[in-house]
Amino acid sequence: MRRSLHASSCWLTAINVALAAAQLLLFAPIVAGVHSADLIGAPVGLLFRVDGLSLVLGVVWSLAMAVASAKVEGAPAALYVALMSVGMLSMAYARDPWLLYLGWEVAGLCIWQALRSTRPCNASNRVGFALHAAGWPLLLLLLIGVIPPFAPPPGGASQVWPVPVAATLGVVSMIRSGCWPFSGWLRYASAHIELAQRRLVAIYAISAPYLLAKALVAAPWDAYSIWALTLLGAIALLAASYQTALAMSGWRVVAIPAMSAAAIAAFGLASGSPLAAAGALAITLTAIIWASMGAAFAGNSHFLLLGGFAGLWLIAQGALDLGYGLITAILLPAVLLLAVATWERPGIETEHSGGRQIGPLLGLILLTLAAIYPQALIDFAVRPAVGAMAGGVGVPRLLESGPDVGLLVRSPQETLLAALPATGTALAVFLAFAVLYWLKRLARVSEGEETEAQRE
Amino acid sequence: MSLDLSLFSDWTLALLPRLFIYPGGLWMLAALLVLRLGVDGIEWLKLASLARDLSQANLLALATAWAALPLLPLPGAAPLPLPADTFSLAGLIALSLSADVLWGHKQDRQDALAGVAVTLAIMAPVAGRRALLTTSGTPSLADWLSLLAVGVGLAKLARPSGRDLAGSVRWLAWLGLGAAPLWGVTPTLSALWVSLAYAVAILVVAVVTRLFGKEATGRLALATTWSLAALSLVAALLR
Repeated sequence: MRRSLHASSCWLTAINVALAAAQLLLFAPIVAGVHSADLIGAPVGLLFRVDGLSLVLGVVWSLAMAVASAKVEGAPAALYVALMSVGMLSMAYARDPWLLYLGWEVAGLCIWQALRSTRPCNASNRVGFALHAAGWPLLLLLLIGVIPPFAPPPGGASQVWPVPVAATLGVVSMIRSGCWPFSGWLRYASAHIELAQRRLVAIYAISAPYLLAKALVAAPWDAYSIWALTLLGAIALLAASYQTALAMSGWRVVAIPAMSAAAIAAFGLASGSPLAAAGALAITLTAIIWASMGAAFAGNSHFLLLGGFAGLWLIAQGALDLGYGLITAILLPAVLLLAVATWERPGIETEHSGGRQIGPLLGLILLTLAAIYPQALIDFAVRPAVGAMAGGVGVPRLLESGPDVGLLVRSPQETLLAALPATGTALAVFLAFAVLYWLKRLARVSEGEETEAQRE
Repeated sequence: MSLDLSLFSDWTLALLPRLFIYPGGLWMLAALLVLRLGVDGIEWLKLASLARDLSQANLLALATAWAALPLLPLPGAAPLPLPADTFSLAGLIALSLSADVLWGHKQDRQDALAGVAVTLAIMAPVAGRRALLTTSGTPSLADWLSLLAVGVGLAKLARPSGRDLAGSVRWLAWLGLGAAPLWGVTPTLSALWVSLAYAVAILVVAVVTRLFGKEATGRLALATTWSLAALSLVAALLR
């Protein structure tokens, strides 16, 4: 029995890795400007669209699912996880909003079934209903026919998204991210699931802001839509802080990063700035990586705080460029407030308290990576994805900016200039850490000698 | 490539004296001792006391706070080829606070909230600007309110921070960053004047803490810091 379980999870992991590798093969030609219809043929090309955004998210989702599949137990659960992978890839590459809706529903149904395979029906049924019902507003808009295709028409951008449509997309994203007060499903689900399901639920929840990014591929939003989404993000962020302050343990492992990532991504994507959109993507990608890997050992949002700092900086700079100084000013205190609110109370340990040891180590590894090559996230993930959102956040040439403005620069020369402050800061932290480490050891030795002397 | 390497070399050469001599390293140690002397008394200056505090310190929190201090735009420091902006500096100190809160010693919730309020006060004037870099010029109303909020917040944080090394270095960094608009008015100041300004600030905080006792470190100070920070934000937005 154990052997068959092991075999099914191995197969799932292998299939997802193969899917990620297959998508990576398309990366170079798409980023170089080859049209997706030329790559995948006319019939399929009418239904699906391959661009930088969908490729980045598709690859990351496949890899995240590969890691999350490793703990899946039982053949039925394995089948549902495989179907969830297909549903999420359908979301990533859908040109038509109907396909995106169907892919999302399939992913939601698989989460429900995966929960049912290990837990009593009542809990999983409530989660399933909450996930399904959240799609009703989207379904209504589709039936009315007001959601345009997720691709600009030949030769330009399509019409601006109407305010009710943009607001509905925002609300649906927040609900499916589990952002209270829009929905409490994530908190409820997290309290009733085990580690393997927790990872899947987290990947599903953090993927929700992708709908907003996808909408920006086709067309921009007007000023009222921007403020509506910013308001939604602000409510979600404040509510996340409030909820985490009240929370005791367990469910925060999934809920905090998912809720905060979705809320901050709404901020970044709503502003319509390429820099802020890049920041939103950086945070979403970091959170998905955390959900698939870190959720196993990190009992809090440490990883998100460290890995998402570059994303926060990009959102702050992008918002300031557009004149939304309020967002720039409150972003850092809001996230810090979230961190303060999430710390564990004395006597209450999460089931993954091993994160206390691994968290700082992971932070140090990230710091070292940032010191060696701070542009990696920008060069290989964020820039191609933001370039695909030309309909909503401006033409790609806007990505060129000076080294004192942002990290999204074009030539290698500019890249190095922009990376200098980041590398220098990381170098300063590293040097300080190294000196302090030896001083601490020295202090401990002298403290020990003093204690010995007192004993004698 | 040689130009790239020379740029990186320039940055590192400017960073090293900042990190180990002024405003980090030796100067930071001196300021730390003055802070402990002013707030906690002479018994906390003993080497054994310092060694005990260092052996109990959260290294990541201490290192990030230390790294923030040399990058501050303090007069008299070697100029950096590309200066660090307000968000990055406030973020480094915030990272130090969150590392202490999440992985380090259990902190008082009120102190952590005061740290968030000081961060808001530092970021508030940015809402009225067009860039994250601190510019020289006459300080605005938002800058003055922000400075006041930082002052009250630091008075609240002074007593407990005196025994926590990471908290003390954060205290010094917050003071330098909060007073950045003042440094910009008179960029010709030397390190001596900055040291004097720090000494006066520590003296004022020590006197205020001793005079007002619990009020200065209690909920009133916390509420005042939040209120002044919010006012600074409003002033920056109405600018």
